Amino acid sequence: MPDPFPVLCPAGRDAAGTRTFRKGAIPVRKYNTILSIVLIALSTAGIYLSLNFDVRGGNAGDPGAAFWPILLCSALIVCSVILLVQTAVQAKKAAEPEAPLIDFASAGVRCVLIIFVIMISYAVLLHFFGFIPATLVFVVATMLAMGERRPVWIALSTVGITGFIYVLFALVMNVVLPQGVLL
Amino acid sequence: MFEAFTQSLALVLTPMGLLSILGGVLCGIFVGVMPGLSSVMGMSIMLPVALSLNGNLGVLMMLGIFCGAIYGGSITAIMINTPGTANSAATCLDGYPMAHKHHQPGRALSISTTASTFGGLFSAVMLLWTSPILSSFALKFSAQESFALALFGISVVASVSSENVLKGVMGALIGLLLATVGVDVTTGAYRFTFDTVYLTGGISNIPVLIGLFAFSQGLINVQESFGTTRAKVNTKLERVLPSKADLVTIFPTLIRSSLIGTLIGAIPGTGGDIASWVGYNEAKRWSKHPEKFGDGAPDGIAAPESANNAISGGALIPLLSLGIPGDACTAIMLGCLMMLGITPGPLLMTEQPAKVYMIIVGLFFANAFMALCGFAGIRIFTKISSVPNIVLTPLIFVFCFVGTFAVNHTVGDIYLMILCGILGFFLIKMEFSIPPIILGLILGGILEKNFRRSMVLSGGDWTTFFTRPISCVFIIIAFLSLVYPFVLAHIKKRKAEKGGAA
Repeated sequence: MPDPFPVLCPAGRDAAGTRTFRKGAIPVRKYNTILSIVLIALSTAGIYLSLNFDVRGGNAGDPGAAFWPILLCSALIVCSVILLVQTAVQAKKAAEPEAPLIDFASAGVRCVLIIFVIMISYAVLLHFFGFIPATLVFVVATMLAMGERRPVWIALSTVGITGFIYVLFALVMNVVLPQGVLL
Repeated sequence: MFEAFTQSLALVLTPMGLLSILGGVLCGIFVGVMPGLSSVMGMSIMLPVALSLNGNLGVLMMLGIFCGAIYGGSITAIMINTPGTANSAATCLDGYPMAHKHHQPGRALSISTTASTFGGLFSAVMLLWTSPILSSFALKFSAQESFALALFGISVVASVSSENVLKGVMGALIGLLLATVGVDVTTGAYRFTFDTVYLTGGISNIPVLIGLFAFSQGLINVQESFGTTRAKVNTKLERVLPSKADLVTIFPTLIRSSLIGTLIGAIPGTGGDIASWVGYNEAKRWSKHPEKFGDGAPDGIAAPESANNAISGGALIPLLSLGIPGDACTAIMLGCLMMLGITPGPLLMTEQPAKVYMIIVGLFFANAFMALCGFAGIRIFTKISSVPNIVLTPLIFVFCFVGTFAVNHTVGDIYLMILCGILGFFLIKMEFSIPPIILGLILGGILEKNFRRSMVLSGGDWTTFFTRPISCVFIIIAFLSLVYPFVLAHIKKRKAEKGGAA
């Protein structure tokens, strides 16, 4: 059998042949550290923003609008610091480097990253062109990204999915579908 | 009470009412049968559809999905040894051997259908019996107790659902923080709105729900099943209805497992997977022939299936009477009810008893339809699992987009959904679990409101949460549930060190 993904997902390269997403895999500990730092930063910003909330008189005894968010942000900071320490301790104990959490070089993950891009494009297309044109393009793109190459399958699924959703939502359930601002 | 009951019957027993339940059950079975689609995912995708229906019909449909999905998981467990949902993992142990080693797939499926229906109906009876009692007890609750109860619900789920309790707590805190966005109801202050109109009304639940539960799971499926194809089912079924002899054999197991399932379901933080394993182990322990378990024992199929379906009624007990969801499915249920203007809790039973009975009656019918669909359509359902991922995945994604848009008709919601989906993908990869985040988001408003109301009631006195016995007990349990895993790990380590030294 020939290479099943010849167009979109050759190892580490995109359709144009330029290198993509081959930064190497990052272990879970590193992710924990990054996340802790991001959360500490966000919570600190949250506390700062809360301090500037419009303080209007509530009932007697009411701790005010800012109290609850500040409490939550502080708790999140405490948890993040604990996670940071926990991760650091684990890193010291572990002798060998652990297995990568998300292997950016694997075909599956690369496909997911491509789908991220397709998703955002789909949202933009929905906004400008409405449900039917955007969905036709989206289904074809997703199936190609997932490695499907049989034209008949792609054509049938595309028409089938678009038609099914349109009939179910627009005709049976009377749900409003995106109309498209350009049309 | 009788009047409310007949009123609820009139609500359910309409052509549209029954049709909604049937549609929900079919959709639930489909979601359950497909490996990779969970009941939570099905419920979050279908939530916008349910909301677009006339109020009561949406609730009935969600109940149908809830029941159908748990049952559907057993079909794939028996036919291809892959549980359709985590709830049916225990069913594989005896279901697959019976279907393939002993060549009785029809018998295995008939037992699982019977057991599922029995478990579901049993738990619905328990719900009908216990929720009025619990509600009348909970009527004495004031803001302090409601706060303590919601806190208890969140902390138990945070503690149980994650491998790492710390990550569970962090998830819950993130959810609670998301719930603070928007206009503060008590003082009218704008919080974290960044002067945008979109955030003034708060972060809507549905895009977050669909993004975190459905979209991210779809992405994970893409990654894990990339380039693989699913096993095809080509087995002929020799029978559809259970034999009398089988029914007699499994009857004691059905009763025991249904009771276990209902009890476990009523405890927040647990779920169908735990119930099915406990049910299975107990059946094995009580059996006269424990050696037959694992080799196609009828009790080994009946026990996990009746236990996991009994979850449905059990999980609704704390939801309807106390207003706290015990797992992700009931959290979505709570979100759905609140968006339809029904606030579950002790007051619901006194103020809108017809709604409570409607849910209970709906649960009865959902289980009845599940049996009907199961016995009538099992030959079709066994074929569904052959639908290839390559077709299913784009369909799920389009569903996510359209559903998100359908609720508020804003493209902003779609971007929020994508953002949550991508974040969810990385969070799941980092061993975070999603239910605490959702529970935090849905219960956040209730928690803060009751916290501040108690402070006002007590004149700003902190000790009010601890001087009232019920609230004090719940806060202590909430605290213990978070600390317990750490203590347990520490004790284990000490023991291991001692063992090593000796």
